[in-house]
Amino acid sequence: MLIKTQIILYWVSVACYVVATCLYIGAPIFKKDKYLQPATWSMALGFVPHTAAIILRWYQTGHFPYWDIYEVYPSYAWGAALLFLAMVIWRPKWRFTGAMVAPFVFIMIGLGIMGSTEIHAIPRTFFTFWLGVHIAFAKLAYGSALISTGFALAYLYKERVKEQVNSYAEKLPSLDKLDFLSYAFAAFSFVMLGIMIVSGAIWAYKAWGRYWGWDPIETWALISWLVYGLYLHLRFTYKWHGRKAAYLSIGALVLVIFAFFGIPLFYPSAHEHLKYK
Amino acid sequence: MGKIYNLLKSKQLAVYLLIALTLTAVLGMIIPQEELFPEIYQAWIVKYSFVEPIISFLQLNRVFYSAWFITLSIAFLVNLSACTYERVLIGRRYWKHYSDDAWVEDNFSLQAHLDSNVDQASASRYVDGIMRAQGYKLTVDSTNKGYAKHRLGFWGVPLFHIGLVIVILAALVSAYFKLTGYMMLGEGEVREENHEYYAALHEAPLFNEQHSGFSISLLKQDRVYNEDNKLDYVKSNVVIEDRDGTSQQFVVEKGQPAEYKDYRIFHYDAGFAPLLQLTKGSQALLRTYFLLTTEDLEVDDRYYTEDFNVPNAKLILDVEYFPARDEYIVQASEASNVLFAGTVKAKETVAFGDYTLNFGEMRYWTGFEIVKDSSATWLFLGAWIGLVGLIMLYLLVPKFWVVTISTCEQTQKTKVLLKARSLKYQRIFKEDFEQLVSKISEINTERVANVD
Repeated sequence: MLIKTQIILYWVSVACYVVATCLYIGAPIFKKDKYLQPATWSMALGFVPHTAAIILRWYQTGHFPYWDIYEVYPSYAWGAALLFLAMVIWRPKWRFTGAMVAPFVFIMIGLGIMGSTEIHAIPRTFFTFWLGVHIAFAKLAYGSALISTGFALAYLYKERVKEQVNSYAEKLPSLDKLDFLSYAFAAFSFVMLGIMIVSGAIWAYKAWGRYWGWDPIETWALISWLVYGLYLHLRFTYKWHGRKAAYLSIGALVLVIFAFFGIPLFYPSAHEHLKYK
Repeated sequence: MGKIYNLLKSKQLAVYLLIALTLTAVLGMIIPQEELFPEIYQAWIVKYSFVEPIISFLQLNRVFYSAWFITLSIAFLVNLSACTYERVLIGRRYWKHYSDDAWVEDNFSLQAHLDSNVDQASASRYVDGIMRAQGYKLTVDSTNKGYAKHRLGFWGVPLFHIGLVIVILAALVSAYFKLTGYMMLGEGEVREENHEYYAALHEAPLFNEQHSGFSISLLKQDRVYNEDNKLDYVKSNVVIEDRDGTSQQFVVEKGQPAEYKDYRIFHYDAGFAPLLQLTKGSQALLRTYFLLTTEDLEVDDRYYTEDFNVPNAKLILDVEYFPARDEYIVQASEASNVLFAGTVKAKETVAFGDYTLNFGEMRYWTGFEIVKDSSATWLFLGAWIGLVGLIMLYLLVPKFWVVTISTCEQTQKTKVLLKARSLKYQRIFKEDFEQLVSKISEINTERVANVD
């Protein structure tokens, strides 16, 4: 019964997020910035059943959802949606970045709810404060990487249409500001990734006596962190602003997604609980 | 020398090294690493055997332990250290400059000029109150008043890089001085922390036999069951006795290691150890606590040992134990002839050929992973320092205001000249500047000019 309720709630949230996605992506295509308001409302509406499903699963298992695809993907989607909505409350004019966030959120929930709903016994090494820190900062890193890429895409879009009459593009922040905001969120993601890596290392050291073992997920997370570090250095050393920085932000996001979600599909790893079953 | 130092501290070199490290790490992930996944690597190299010479020559099957990766890491460390030293010097220069009175004469990108009807003293007090409410400190108290905020932010970048340097140094020390070993202890058994008593041991290249030599014994193992009567976890009561006679007792379970000096003793696995007595005729061949292991401790249904060669005999034993039934399935073979295959109950004696076999008293054993890594603490300290540096870097942005209050000779009005600068986030600071000027102008002033 609980599982059924969770699935229904997830599908309701997916429906809302799909509507949000269509509106967010439709806005620049049809040059209708008035789509952004209902898109954001749809996103916020979808967040409610999404949160309810997460809470139900937490109640059912006795721990925050972080085991197996069924729990991990929707909880990462929840983290990204939460960060996005918090940003929109703080700065409503930045809601256009939902064009990047919303599709990833609904895809991740969709993939997650196709996973096994079986409840597994959690290894004793997971009963630690550092797990919570590691997961929380991982979600923040993923969410801010998405938002950074949202700004990067907005930059590329606005740059492309700057010679045209485009009422939607005119309402976007200036190219300078878009470039700066993409950098700011990339820098935030860099910090969050760093904390995620270090807290994971501390947890691994306490659990298994080794803080680093070149495990595929560890290494790809490090690669993602190095790429964001490279982004920051290229910006300050070689003045990589604008288009180059935007493309690099997109490339970095691809790496983050691969590191977080693609690796367990291809490699054996200490993060066995992320394997698709 | 100067040229070499300039190259070493250059940010351009840092970019190239970052690219090299990233690509190396990617390479280490694309090519299966033999140390991590030996079976996967073997299967892969059979499939792509034509690349084996290159892989072996360049050590691409063990990228992260290869000489060239270590060299790259050291080059990165040297560059990072040189850059960090430069950032420390820059931080000092900034700190020194903004600690004396001279900085109020600097050029400021943002300026505003206001006229006020109130007298100079009142205007001065009013502006001072607003600046302090915004968190600014008065650092220069003269005709030109200087206010500053978040000067500690100068140290954000150097601190972050210092943290990184410590992390990399500690990681290199760890790679060359670490010990990781596996030791199996039965209840009542005592072993010394010494080279020959480990079942498996990895000593880093420069470890140099720095074993402590304390003795470790397993007093008792407790198996804790949950409400479904399934094994939940195993607790091992361990005693460590040092050479000077001092001893300490620990409880080791999964996720909760024992910590003794630089050593950490982790629960790795556990199993059963029945007393096996094996005779041939009147000769006692074996009387030992026979270690039985399992695939999955959490399942806890089958423990086994395969292909055990009995010493001084040509006998090979395969033993399985089922705790739920407290019985054994044994196969005894001699030169591929199966002498016995069947079930043996606990404490039952079975005879086959000239042999008799009996499983007696049951004890438990625990496998411990023992790690000695004295640099781990430094590594985490470096990580914390780096984190503090990052927080300072992004949250503490140094900002400076100069407030000059005078009386205009012609109009006799009080003139308030405001100048400000921020070391980062100019766009956001401009908005803050405008807001603060608006606040100040509530003193019934006319804003005359805002020079950007």
